Amino acid sequence: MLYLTVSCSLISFGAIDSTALNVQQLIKSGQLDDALDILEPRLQHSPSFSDFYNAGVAYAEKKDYRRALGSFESALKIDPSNRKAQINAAFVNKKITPKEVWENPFSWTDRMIIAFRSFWIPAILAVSLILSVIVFLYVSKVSVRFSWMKKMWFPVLLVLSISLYALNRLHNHHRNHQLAVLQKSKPKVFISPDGVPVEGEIDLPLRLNIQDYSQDSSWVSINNNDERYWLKSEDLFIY
Amino acid sequence: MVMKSFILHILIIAFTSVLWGQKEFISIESSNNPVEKGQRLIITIKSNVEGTLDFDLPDEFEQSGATESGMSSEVSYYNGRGKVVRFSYEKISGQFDDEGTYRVGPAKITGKNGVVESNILEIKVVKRQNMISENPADNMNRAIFGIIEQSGREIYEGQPLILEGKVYAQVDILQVERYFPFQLEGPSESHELQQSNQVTRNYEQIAGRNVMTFRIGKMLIFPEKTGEFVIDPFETILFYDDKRSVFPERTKVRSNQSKVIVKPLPDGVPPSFIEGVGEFKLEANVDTTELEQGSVLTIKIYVFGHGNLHNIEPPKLNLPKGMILYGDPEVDDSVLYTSRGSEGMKSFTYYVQANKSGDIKIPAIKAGYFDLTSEEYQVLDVTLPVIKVNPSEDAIAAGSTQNSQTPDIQEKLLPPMDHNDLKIVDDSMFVGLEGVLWTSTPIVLAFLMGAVVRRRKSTEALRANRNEQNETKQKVLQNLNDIGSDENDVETLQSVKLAVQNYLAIKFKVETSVISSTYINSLSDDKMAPETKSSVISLFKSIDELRYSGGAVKGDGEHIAKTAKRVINEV
Repeated sequence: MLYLTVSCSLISFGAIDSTALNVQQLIKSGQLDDALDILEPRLQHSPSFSDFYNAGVAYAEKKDYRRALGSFESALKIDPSNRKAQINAAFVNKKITPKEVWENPFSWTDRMIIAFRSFWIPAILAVSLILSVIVFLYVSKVSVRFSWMKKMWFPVLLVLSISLYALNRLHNHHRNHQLAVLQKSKPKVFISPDGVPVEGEIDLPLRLNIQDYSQDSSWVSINNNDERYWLKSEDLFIY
Repeated sequence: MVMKSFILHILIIAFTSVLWGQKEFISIESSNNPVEKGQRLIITIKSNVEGTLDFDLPDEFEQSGATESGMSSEVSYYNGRGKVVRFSYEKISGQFDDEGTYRVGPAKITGKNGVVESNILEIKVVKRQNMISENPADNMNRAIFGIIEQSGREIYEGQPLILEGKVYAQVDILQVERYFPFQLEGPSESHELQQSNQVTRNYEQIAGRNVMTFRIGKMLIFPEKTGEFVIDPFETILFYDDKRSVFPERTKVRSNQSKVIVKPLPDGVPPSFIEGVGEFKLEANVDTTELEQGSVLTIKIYVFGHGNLHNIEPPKLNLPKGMILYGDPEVDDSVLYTSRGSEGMKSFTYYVQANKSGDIKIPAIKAGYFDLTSEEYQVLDVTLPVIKVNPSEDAIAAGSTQNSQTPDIQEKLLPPMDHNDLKIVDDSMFVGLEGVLWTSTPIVLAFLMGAVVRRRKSTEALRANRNEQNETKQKVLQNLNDIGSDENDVETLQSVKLAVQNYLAIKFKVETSVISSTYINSLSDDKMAPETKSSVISLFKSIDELRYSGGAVKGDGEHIAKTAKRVINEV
């Protein structure tokens, strides 16, 4: 019971954002800088979906489409199936690269796992308890009314494995920042993090997959046409 | 047998003597000179000298087949007088694949009288001549000849070209040994339509003669450029029945050389041209006629027909405002290569996002192609049903209705929101070591509790068994005490044995009937000491002897009962 009580108390996802309404009004009234002054510090610490989304709208209204795209895709990292964020991301993407069609940066598997994000922890807890009963029945060899539960070991184990996998993937999805949007069309590209620049112009895609970070995270490495390059983190919107 | 051997020896000695008597010579000859590039020729080395032959062929000579050796003779005339010259020979067949003049020889033979050296033969190899006429009747001076048959002398760009070899023979062809197909001198895509080892013979009347024919190496070719292209001859090596010879003869047949002109398509290319040349049909469908705004509609276009179907481009979609095409269409095909070109079906799947609500009419899909029969461009079209796009909840929330202008991602940014406060889930307690602890703690506890319950159950069962053993022991000993000195009948002896068996059955948790001397003997030493085993077995033996011998006397019953008590206490 204690385990259940503690576990249930852990299953809570965010709290109501009281300042979101204010930010919304500021953006609607065209006070974009004021709205961003509220939002930008929040983006550094425990940002919500609407923080990223509204920041994206504010940036887009300011014609800073690259930063807006990064914000919308960051919002989508929290909720990849949100249609409003997708529509706005497609809109700003078209403004940056009119010929390229915007695609959701997150795979269908990730979207499914995130869509059921409130399911995995309760599922793990519930299934662990059922598995405990089954283990008890097997080990103690007692014969009780619910001895039929012993037959359920395989599906229970399957659900537990899937839930653990999904939760681990969800954790990695949120904790690892592997995507980035270029903040400039032609950023300086380096062959190493110590600042040796690459000669000539490198044609980089708008959205990059980050391969590695430097020790202080001020540099990121990317792969482009099988070549490894380093860029300054400040030139990217990393999410 | 002896007679035959004698005659053979005489002949060999006579022949060798004749050779010995002739002037030594060695010569190199060629069956043709000059020869065409790739034409088969035979180089013959003749000599009447016995010894080791030293002879090298030019590296450019491609030998085809084994070297033939033998002995022969010929008559040479000098001053009107004929002289028989006997010699041994070696024939080497092959070809030169490049033009030029090649020196063959000299061949040298080291014999008893020293080294004899041959002439040097210069073979001139010239470019290939088109010796075969396209008209079979003009080639009837040849026993076997081949002609390239082609579907057209002039074709359009993209049009399939069918090439086929046809062999005419005035002798009986026994076997096709090898086949080297014709080749178009230019960029092209080729598909074999017939295997060269499968030919069917026919007979035709040509110039009044009955000629055997067969077709070989049928091929479908798609030239990839316009212009005039040479079709290099096909070659085949055949075995045929030569009436003048006992054995089948082998020959190489090279066909005529041909040409094809690939013309560019005429002007007036329709905008919807899909690069198709041939004859085609068009069909299309959608996966649904009603969907929610923002959902994806799947449009599938099928092109059926023949010609250069495999090379056609996807038809262009002319989408109305608010419909966005995602990427390139998925292409799937089911194409066979036949005499009509590539034939079958090719499908194109387009994914279109409907971002605008209302009844959407997608304009007719058009596909233009060049029709080879009419030699004109044709435009196919197919219409799709009207698609009903229902407004999504997001669009309604953004202030639009089905009848009003919905926000289009191409034109308008959706407004900020005030209610979606979803954050990143703090799941760190369930990942890594902490996650393992959270998941495994109840399972480990359940395991431990289960083990405790099991142990308790087992201890209780053990205790109950011990109690039962003690009770039985007391009961058995009491019964044995009750047996007096006068009791020596069979029933008494049997009851003693049964009492012991009952006790042992409870002790070892088996049925009473199982307890016997054999069972006792089979028990391990840790279950029963060897001395105790002997006592029990001896007791059972004594009881059985007294029961079945009928010699029990007074006091036997009491004695047996005492022995039984001692045994039970020992156990």
